[in-house]
Amino acid sequence: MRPTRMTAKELKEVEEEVQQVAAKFPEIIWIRHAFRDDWDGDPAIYFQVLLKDETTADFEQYRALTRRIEDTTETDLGIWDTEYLPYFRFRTKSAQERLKDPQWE
Amino acid sequence: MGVAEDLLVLAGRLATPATAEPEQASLRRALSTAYYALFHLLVSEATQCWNGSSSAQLGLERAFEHRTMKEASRAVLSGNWKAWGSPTPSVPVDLRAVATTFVKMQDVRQQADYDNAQFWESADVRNLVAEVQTAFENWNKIRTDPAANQARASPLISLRDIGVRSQESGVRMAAAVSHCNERTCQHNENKILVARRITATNTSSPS
Repeated sequence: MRPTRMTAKELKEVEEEVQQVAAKFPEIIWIRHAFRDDWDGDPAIYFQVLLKDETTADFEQYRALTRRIEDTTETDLGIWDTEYLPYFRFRTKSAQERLKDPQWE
Repeated sequence: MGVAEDLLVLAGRLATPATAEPEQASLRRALSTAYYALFHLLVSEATQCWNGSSSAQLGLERAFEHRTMKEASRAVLSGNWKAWGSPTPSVPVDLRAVATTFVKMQDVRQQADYDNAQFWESADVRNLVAEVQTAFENWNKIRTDPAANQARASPLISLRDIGVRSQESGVRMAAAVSHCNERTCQHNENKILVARRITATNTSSPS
């Protein structure tokens, strides 16, 4: 992952790497990412992770799963070697169906 | 319990709202409260060895800026941290975890407080509040580890970054805090007054 001004090819590589992370976790329905500034104006990469409903049945397991997903993503993409700050949001499928959040459609 | 611990308890309650309570508002307050719990923990830890009056203590605490603390946390995470002493010790894993949580929660807090287009899910919010709880635990590990003394007086909470921005008074304040962190400081109201003047003149973050 390049620090700045990524080319189309590099952006495609990032997308492929994100999907490779998703493939490592059967609990994941999909991962999306978007480059934008965070609230302070620092460059950031935001990840949205939609999870299967059963992942929240045990809260401690849910916590451990989300941590593993974050760690794997940050490591595989080498995010801390870039200027981008990583931010993650997790949601289950049933929660999204209830919230009907357009940002997660 | 102190304010930071009380805020953390409150955040946990807000993260699990009763059916009759407004869910999204409660979840937003949970996130904001959890962030401030961590913020106040770090600030109080940074200033607790200061031996001045309570008003001077307040002035020093008010000098801490959210943005500066985020930048210091980021320096820890990116390996650019420069400790007070030399050589810079390696960053403890627990300190890195605290820095990660601080950066994350600061952005979450701003979204929760200001972005009304965001929807929050209870499990996600409870997860974030639990992460702050873990940050408290990690911080406690650091503060009881003698080898991590410099990390405890670390850039997470130091004001040296203000000095780096070439504000003369900021340098003086940073020096005062540095002495404090070395536990060699004496009661010195004048130095605290410098910090309070900086607080009054600096542009504060929108929090």
